Amino acid sequence: MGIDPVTFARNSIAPRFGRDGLVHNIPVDCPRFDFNITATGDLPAGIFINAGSTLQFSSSNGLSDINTLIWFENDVAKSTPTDANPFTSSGIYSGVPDKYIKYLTKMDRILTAAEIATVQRALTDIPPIEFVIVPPVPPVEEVTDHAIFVKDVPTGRNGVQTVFTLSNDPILDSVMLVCFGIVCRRVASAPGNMEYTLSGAGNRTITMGMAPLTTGPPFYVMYNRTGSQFGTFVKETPSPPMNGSNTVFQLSRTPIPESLFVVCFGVPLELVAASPGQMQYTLSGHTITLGMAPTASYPFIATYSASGP
Amino acid sequence: MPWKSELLSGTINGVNRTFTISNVPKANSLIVIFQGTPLEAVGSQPDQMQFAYTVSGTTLTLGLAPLVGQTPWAKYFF
Repeated sequence: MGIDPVTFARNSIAPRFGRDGLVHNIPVDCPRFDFNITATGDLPAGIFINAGSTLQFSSSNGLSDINTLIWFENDVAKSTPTDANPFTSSGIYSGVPDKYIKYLTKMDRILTAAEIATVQRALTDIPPIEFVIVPPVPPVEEVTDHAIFVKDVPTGRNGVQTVFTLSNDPILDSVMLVCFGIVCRRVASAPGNMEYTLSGAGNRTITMGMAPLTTGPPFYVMYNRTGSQFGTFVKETPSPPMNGSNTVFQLSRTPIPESLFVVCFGVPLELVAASPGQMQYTLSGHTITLGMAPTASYPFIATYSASGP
Repeated sequence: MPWKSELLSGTINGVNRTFTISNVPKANSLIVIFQGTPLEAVGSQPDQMQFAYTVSGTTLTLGLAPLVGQTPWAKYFF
């Protein structure tokens, strides 16, 4: 409370709650100090002045003079002359009983309102700062109904045949046809080399501008057909980094197999069930196994839709 | 929100490398094909001899400037 000497008197015992949650009795003439319990620590409430108790400062402190007096009453900042001085000229508290008083401060002159506010701010109890580590917010993953992925390997290629049939009606703009080691371009009519058209019922009929060879570069068609299939688009370079000897790589997610499009050595690769050869790969869960070890000279790109984490 | 395949829009003269597409593609759905080869998506403007591209909204910047007669195209979901 700051200004000595101070005397306190109370003619009866006083109850108070302890931190153990139980009521404890404060002896006669023993000041009762309480605390405000907060989530991050207890803060002093002040000395409790109940009816019948006496709090008296030395009259030499001159608490009733005209200079500014600042104090806290039930945690509310007070000051003269805005608030009535609760102390008599003898230094005895004569304010409303049953209040908590703390941080009584006598100035040596009359302060301006701004100065009073500064002092009051300095005296105000601030709860201990609790540092809470906010976990990083994971990026929001955009799940899309992209329709159902289909991957067809048209049958009948013999170096002569140019017309093939898809197994489903494709969404035209979703089609990606791989042949001759490249992604061929769809045109409306009269396909040239490395081009094709889609026509007929449900646009299932592929007409190539040039007949795919019996063997050699892969021939497959990736597309989506009408229907609901949700997934998240992923485009990544599988790990670990290419070193010219490793052939086993990991995707970050499990792809919808029909959606997986792998490019390495500058060309689209072909998915096979086992024993991949050059320009081929196998897929098992997240794992891609190439038939040939790539080097960092070529981009290694896997594009797919992942249906789950 | 549909699939879209389209030719890149822009001047093809062996110099221009900036093209546009009609819609903002869903993240990671864009595949850009140049002379039958899928291009690599990179974070910053690709070198002029790089088979790569960057995308910002509907604007694509290619590494290689297509020559007259070449028809780069893109497939994406939006």
